[in-house]
Amino acid sequence: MSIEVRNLSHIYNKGTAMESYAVKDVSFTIEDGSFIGLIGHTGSGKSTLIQHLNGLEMPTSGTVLFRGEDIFKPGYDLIRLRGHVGIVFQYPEYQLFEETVIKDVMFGPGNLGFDEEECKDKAEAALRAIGLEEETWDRSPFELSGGQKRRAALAGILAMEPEVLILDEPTAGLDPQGRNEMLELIGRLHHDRNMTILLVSHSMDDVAEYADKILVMNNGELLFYDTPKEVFRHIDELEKCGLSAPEITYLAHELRAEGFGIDVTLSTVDEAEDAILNLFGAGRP
Amino acid sequence: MLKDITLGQYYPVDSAIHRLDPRTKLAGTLLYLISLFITSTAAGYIIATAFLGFCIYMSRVPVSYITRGLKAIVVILMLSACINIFFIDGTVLFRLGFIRITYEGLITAAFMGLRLVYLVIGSSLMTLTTTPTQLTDGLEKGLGFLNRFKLPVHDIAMMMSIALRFIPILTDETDKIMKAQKARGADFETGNIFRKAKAMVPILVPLFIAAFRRASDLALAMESRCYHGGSGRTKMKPLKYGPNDRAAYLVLLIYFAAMAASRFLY
Amino acid sequence: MNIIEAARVVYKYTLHDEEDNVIETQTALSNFSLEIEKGSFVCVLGHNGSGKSSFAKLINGLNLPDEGTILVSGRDTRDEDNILKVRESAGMVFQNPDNQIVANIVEEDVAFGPENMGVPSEEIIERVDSVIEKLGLSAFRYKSPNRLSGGQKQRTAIAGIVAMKPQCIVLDEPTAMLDPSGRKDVLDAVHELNKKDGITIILITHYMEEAIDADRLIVMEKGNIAADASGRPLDGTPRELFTRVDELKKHSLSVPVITELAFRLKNKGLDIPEGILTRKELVEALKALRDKENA
Repeated sequence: MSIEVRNLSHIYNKGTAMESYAVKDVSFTIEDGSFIGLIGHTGSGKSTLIQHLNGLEMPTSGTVLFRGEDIFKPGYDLIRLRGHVGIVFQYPEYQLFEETVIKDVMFGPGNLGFDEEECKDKAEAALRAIGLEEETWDRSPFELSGGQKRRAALAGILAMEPEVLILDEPTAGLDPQGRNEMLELIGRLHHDRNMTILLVSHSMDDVAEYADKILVMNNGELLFYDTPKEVFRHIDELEKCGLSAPEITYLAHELRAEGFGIDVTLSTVDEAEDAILNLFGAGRP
Repeated sequence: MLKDITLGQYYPVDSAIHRLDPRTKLAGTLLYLISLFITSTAAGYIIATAFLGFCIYMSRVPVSYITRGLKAIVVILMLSACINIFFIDGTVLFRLGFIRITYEGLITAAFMGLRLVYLVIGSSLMTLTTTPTQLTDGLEKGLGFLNRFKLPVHDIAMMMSIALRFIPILTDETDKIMKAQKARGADFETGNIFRKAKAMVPILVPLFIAAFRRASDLALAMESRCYHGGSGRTKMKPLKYGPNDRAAYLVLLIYFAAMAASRFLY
Repeated sequence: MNIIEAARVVYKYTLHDEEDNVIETQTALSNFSLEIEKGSFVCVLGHNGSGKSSFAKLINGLNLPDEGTILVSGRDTRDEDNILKVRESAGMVFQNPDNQIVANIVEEDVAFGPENMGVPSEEIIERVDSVIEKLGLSAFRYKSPNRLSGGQKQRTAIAGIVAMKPQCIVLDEPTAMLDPSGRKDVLDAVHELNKKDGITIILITHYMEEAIDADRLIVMEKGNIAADASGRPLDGTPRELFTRVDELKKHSLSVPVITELAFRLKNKGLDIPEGILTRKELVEALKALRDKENA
């Protein structure tokens, strides 16, 4: 097990009239090599939660263990931890600052204490992994397109060679093409490098296709932590906290209500296609 | 840490002072500050104290809330007190080696301290009872006569108002940028001052770029909403003096006359 | 009657280097012609760089055409005397709600446009009252925009435009930065303005799902209306266009999942109608098919 969250609570404005829980008594474990989707509407506490996983936020109570070690105990090397547990924030504009793309990507490994040569190697490897063309490496990061910026920001984290990669809404604001490319890229990192992925999103459809497990947050509390199929069974509860299941799952429910013998936990177009064709005796050979 | 910065903190209650026209409050604050500097007698300070007490009472803002602003000037207060106590010549009350304390020194220190405290309380009473928007409106209209001297009063007021709107947004943005760089192993806490200054670059560059981006977006949005400067512009709620304002000006006048008199009569 | 008439519009923009020399000139719109009917709900789709945002800014007179003309309610946007009238009749809502709200209080921001237009104070108050009510902002009227959610901020921005009493509103990716509930909020508001007040809506978006309820759908590519292999423009009702799933995909647009599923099922030989847009339609189609097979 790679990350273990134990009874984690985070209270904002503690001791004042505006005291409120951002995260309330949350416990879960992220296994090595898993792909987890974290879902919750705005203000559900999902952003605050992930910032505890690499020590950017301090819990009010409870703790986080990385490889069995408490990351909030005094003397724990948080900077080294951030090399192991990388977070890519939603807007690349918040991190790009160097003159060239490659220098920007070298910033992370430089902070971890690698020398110039090593930083360069790691940066080049990361840029290749995310598929940013070599001619852009010496350009200013501010000249890149929106999708390219986002990939450059991701490279900035990958260059630190983390084992766990946390992505905060990596597809928000991208057009469909950019969105698909980004999701495929993340899927590839998971598959080829066996990276542990935590993907924060408010789109069930995004998450349904890739995640082995889905973590649902609502009002700072952990509502579900289970396989997509199990989570999507609870359509009513998801709706109550302002979330929706994938379109296909709704379709399956509606078909079931009309007397079709269809599995209600379908969530992707591929699954639905097969299931419906089967109903009509036209299944794929 | 950045959330602790409060600017133009407004205390939302309904009081006679809150309802005054912002121009009245601006003029009143200005007169009060001037009055503190023209007086130097005990009688003057008694009048100034009474007037301030009356305003605070009328404003319905808790005293504890008002004195909070004094924390910021504690160091200045101590410094000014020390200089006055130790360096003013006069009747010596106490002597220890080269240190001596004089009667005149103590009196001046007390008056100077009081003056500083009243200055801060007086001006914070204005920001506590006036929203930033009212304040900029008041400045725009109150200083409107400067337009004749080609001073772009409307533009300055608009800039102030926009700055007030974007300060919380940029503060929040700074917080996010710091986190994004920390997630890349950046360290803002250790090292000497030069290292720390250098560590600010990864924060400042994205922050400036974000601010410029917002500024150009906002300019476009304002233009598309028919903004073309102050000429021909109307107001939803134009400022108008009411009976309360007239009464307030009368009170102010009496106060100021009393302060002036205190200087010459006693 | 047409509210927007664009005739053979060319619009170019130039990129400058640090010494202000022109590095390159890009053509955002090339020989672009389009007419938009008054009172309609038009959705413009296209990926980044297709020219859809340039088109939006041309309608509002923020950009002026290099060649050709754009008429808004019959007024040429290039005529400087018209520009304020053009902006009054065609309001614009941008992507980032934070960067278009000017004032520190919601009601003051709603009043900003009418104030610029020189509307008398009493009338501004009337307009603000009714617009705030209409867009469901009464609870936030005296609040700072910074305390609102993304969807509420975007509704405030729309209210600020509606208070100018425009005939047409152009929305440039208004939902791109919002979460699903904020998106729904904004879309509901826009549809209501179209239906109840007859305001022409031009909605520019990435999301195909938002186009389903539009009267007309236009796909843009490389500065013009996209065309399929046979040269037919991708311009029509959503139902017409969504039957051409392969074409849409070629223009790297993602089709709503239900339409995609129906398209695949039909290709696999199921006898269902073309251009299915909603779950309800698909369920009905499958029911009909089952009844036919049982018969």
